[in-house]
Amino acid sequence: MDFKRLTIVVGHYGSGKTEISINYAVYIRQMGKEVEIVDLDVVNPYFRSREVRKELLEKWGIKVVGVEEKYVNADVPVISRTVYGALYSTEKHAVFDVGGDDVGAMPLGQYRHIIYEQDPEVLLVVNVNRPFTKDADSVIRYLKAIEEASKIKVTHLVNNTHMSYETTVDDVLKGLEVVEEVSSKTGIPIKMVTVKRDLVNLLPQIDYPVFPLDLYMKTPWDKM
Amino acid sequence: MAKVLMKGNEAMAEAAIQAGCRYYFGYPITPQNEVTEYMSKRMPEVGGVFLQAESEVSAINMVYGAGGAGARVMTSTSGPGLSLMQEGISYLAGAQIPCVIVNIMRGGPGLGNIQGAQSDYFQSVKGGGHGDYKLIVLAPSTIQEMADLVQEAFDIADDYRNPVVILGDGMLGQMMEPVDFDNVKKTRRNLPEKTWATTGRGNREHRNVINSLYIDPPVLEKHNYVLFEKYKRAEQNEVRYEMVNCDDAEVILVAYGTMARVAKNVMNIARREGYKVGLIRPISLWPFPKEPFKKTVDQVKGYLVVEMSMGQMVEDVQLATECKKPVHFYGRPAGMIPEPSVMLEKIKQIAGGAR
Repeated sequence: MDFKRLTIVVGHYGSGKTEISINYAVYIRQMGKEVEIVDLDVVNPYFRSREVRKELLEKWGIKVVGVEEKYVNADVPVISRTVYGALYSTEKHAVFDVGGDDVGAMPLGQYRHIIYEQDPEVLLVVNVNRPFTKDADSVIRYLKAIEEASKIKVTHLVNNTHMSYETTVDDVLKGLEVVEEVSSKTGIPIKMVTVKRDLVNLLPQIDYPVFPLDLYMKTPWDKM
Repeated sequence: MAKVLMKGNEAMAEAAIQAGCRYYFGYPITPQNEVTEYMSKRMPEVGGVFLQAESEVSAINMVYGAGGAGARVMTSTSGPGLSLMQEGISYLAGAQIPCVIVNIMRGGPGLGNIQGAQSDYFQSVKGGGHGDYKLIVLAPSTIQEMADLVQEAFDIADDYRNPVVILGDGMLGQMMEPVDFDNVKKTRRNLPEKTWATTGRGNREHRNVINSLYIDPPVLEKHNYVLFEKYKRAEQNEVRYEMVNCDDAEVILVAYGTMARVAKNVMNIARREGYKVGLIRPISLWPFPKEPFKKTVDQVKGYLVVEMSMGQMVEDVQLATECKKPVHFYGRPAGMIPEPSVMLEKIKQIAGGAR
């Protein structure tokens, strides 16, 4: 899959943006590029990419920026100026892990002029098993609200439909059907279908790249 | 509604709406904000009232008003907010007003932090407000159970005319799991009509008054006895718990909520290593389940209570076992998760060393 220097990952709340941001950054790293993750999530208190910053740095040499160390666990919407480093860099790639819904996408708006000049890839992550994005129309409503709040246009759709540890191939295909409808109604192309690595080989032939995910956001009992 | 993937906070809010809750009053606090957020979106859709109060003190008194008028009403908060609500909660219990109060615990004391913790056990179970009263306290450990118990909580509240607390921790509030709202597990009960509610006098002979003021000592005494008759009935009928692998257990882990899920995995690891370990998971924290301890106290070498606190539920376990067997404790405060390896080490010590 091709990628741009800047990738912005947006989506409705709980759609899977963080896992996709991390895995996508790892993919870019594996393609031989320097890459940073920009944690712009100021709406979620837990399960943010900053939580695995040490693991990502040690394992992949990927730095998580966007929040200063002393504010990592703070319950305040603070964004570090290190974001500008990622925005203006000419060598380093960056993946922006944005907060959920239009509310979470709002902080992105302040960078819109810089982002536009850079021709970014803007991925909208969709999980149709989430209660407010069950069908194409509701997904499109979220898409428009997120674009409005962030002042940035979505360039690609990502089907990340899953049901946590109960995910089946049917979930993925059901989601793909909805995402295809969104694509045909909006003209926005589908970038990829993301699935947990152990499901990849169970999927039938589909027309889009299948991107395997290794999960980083874990509950305490999953970490054992 | 087919199965959906939800955060614990969202699932509790949806469950409340499905239980007929049409009034929600609250004030935002992490890590339960998604309850408030979800309610603000869903309540208008179902013709209900969502109101963000100016503080938790206001929110709990709005609950008093709506509950007193007979409506199904809920509020949700976390530690600091629950502390502010204590006066109102005591009044609700005194005035016998049914309502559901969700507390998604975070690290304390004081402002503490926003990580999930279990250090509000005493406050919820022993009564954080003044006077002789009890709250029925339910502690889910999965998102499905959060949905189930919230719906049950509304029925229990109406059945006993008493506030019911859903006590979870931040991890449960924030994590996502599949939830099936079509197959919610709930006890069948014949709920009494709310003849006491302040719905306007109409053709009634008397005025309904919602109050917790009984200025005459013998009258207040009688009122307290009425409350405690209810609590006795709750102790007989509302005890809930789960026992896993206790039949042959020499060591039994005791944990609730998030901690029970960690404990269950530790139990399985210990079993693989040859230790007969079981788990008692209290679901109702009040009334506290004494039966599983009565059933097992003769057979075990000891219990290991694990909590995300400095040790609160452990005292109820000591009471339930009547100190017939050692009750050990391991916990960590501040949203730190007790280490599985330490739990395993302690299990081995209680069992009498390495095998």
